[in-house]
Amino acid sequence: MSLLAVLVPLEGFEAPGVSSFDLPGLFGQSWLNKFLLQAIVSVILIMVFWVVMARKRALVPSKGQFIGEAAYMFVRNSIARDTIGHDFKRWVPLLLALFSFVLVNNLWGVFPLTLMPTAAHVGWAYGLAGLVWLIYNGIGIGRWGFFGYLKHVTVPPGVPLWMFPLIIPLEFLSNVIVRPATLSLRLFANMFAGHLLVLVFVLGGEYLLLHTESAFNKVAGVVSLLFSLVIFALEIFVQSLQAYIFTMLTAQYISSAVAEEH
Amino acid sequence: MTQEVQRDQGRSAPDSTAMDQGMRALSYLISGVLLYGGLGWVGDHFLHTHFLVPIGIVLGAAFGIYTMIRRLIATEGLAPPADGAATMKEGDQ
Repeated sequence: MSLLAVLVPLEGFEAPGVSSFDLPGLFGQSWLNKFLLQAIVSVILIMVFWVVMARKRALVPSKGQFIGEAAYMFVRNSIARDTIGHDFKRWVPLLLALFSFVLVNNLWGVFPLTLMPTAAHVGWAYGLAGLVWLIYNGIGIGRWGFFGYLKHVTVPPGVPLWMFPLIIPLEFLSNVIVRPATLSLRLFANMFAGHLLVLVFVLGGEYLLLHTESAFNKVAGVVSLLFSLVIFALEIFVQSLQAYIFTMLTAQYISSAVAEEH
Repeated sequence: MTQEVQRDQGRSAPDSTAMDQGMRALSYLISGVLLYGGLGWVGDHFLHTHFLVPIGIVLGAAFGIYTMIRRLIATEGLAPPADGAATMKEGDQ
């Protein structure tokens, strides 16, 4: 009997899937779902955080101020200055805002009360990447003029003239469509997959532990629940890393939109 | 501290640039396959043939790799190995 329960697929268990991300509207409003609420709360939190950080600055920093300054200097130096180089200071506010927003919204995925990264809904990733797209193309057009920028993003460096008809459409597609698309998909896919992984281990473990009979299943359920904690730790790492990569690539796109290429 | 000074002198840190180059290579590959595979699909659709999609995909990938190599040579000062020893990144100014 117990062996049968192990071998036969468990009935009644609904595996988590894409439908786990279709969340209902809150407070009777169809447009106000968990993702939007998290984003709004994150914006308020980030604003309060940075305003407090900017207000209470002392020569000998407190612990809180140290954290704020470390975060600011990380974005300023490791992302903005190292990537954009000359004249990077103009972009620090934008990059800091992006980094804070993406990081906090990613970390909602491991925060016990929310447990859902905002970018696990693809619309948020598209929105963020669309914003970055508008910004870096706008910067490029402002820097080079419309046709100058078009030349900047379509004429590849170092390619002989006779190859131009073959390469120009490719370069355009790569610079204007594929790069921002991968930016959004990378963020979305990481958040989506990470959350799904957590769901599989937690829901599967819970089902095995509480809704099945055999002792083997109960042990497997406990192991699965314990392992979900490891996945959570991995998720914290992935979420921070993706926030960094998103900001870093934004800086890189801005840099390549204004950079001189020969 | 010395690392800070070195970073100040370099225009860009190698790790972030390297990541962008990696992403860019991927982007060229995807673009090439999408563009020329797509063209092949359009060709197949109108000519009622079946061999243009694979040709387009392979050609597109080849063009993507070619463009990436050209870009690296032009922007990074990387010479192909056949050209001799100048494979190191040349100092900026």
